[in-house]
Amino acid sequence: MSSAERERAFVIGSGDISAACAAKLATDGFDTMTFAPDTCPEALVEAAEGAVPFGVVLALDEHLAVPGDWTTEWRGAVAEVLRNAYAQTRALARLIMRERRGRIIYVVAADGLTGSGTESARAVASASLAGMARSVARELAPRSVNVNTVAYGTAEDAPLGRLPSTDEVAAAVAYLMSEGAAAVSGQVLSVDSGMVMR
Amino acid sequence: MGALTGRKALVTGASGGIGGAIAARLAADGAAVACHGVPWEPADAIVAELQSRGHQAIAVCGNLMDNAEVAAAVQQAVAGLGGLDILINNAGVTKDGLIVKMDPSTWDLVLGVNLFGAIAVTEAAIPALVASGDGRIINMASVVGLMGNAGQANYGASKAGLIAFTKVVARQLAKDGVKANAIAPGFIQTRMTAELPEKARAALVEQIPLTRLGDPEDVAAVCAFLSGPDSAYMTGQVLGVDGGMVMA
Repeated sequence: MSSAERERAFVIGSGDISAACAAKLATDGFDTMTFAPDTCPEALVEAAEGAVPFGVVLALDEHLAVPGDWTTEWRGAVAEVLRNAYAQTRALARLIMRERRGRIIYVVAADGLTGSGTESARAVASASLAGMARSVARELAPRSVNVNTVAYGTAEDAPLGRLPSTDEVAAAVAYLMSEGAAAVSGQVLSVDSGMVMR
Repeated sequence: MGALTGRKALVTGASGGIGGAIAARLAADGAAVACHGVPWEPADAIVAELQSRGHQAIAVCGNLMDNAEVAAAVQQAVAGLGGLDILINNAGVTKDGLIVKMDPSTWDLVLGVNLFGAIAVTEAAIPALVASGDGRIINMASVVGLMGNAGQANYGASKAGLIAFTKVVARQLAKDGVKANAIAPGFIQTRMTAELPEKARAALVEQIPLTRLGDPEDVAAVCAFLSGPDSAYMTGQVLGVDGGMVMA
């Protein structure tokens, strides 16, 4: 298939997980484009010209860490991460909703669900994005756009005794991008070696 | 003697309906309460009301979007009360809109007050709460943080983030005897819901198994529980006060 016939997927992120997601989606046949986490919305809209992406993956940097818990600098840095994700979501959702089909997937750390004693920035940002995803899922559902979150494990002492691989996280993202996940929206799919069970 | 006699509490957003009810309940249970308001809506009225009932109450003021004002308000509370045992991060704002139409200032306002404002207040209060030996942090989340709501992507993100913050700070400060929990209110009777047309109100009530909107006092009672000796072994939890809306 030529790239013009293939569905497009945007992957926004800078970590190993976003790279694995991009590779997996390309393998699955998507015409995949990757973007840095701080890509401005205008650049995303420009990239979507001619072919609106079917799916967008916004992957929080798994290495996101801000020293000095709760300080002004910490708050500013986390606010910046969330503001970028909101602005990118807004810009791309506007385009995707007009297609009346599509997927938006946030990739976050599972310790955002359970709290973390050490990774405060990543935990708070992860939970905020998952919270935003639930509201956006409700807003876009009438346009048949599905919005979900994948939460990757961060603890080796999980029941399965190891961290998930980046490919295993990407496989969950690929599922949520697939035809088979068309009835799944507003969910958090944890790929965390059984860390959170509920 | 009330369950909170001798305890010192700071309630942010005490000029509002839920915040005022919380301040009144903590004071009735014996706590000395610093009531926080913002420059354009100070908490003077609730302070006067509490004082007229013979309770110890002071007003503090600060815009939660302004780091210097936050630090000053917390310092004022700690100095005025002679310490701090209980912090209720209750202040919050809504500014709704669909994400595709939401402008950046709307996003920044709601995240800035509800999430980063609460974190800033907590940062300033941590030394006093640790010194207390049995400090309590209670963060006012929302069912919207748990379930999402169309038109409230900013509010939902702020409240979900606040829940994660609660758990992180609960883990970090457990060794210092500080307990941190969150309350997730559902639809509570406030000025905002009072203005709803009858039809919208009925639609709201239909989602609530207990078939009524909550009263601010329902939230205040759970706040009092999480502030008091009966919840000494609870930390990092989210308690729904929502008439059964979320069962998870």
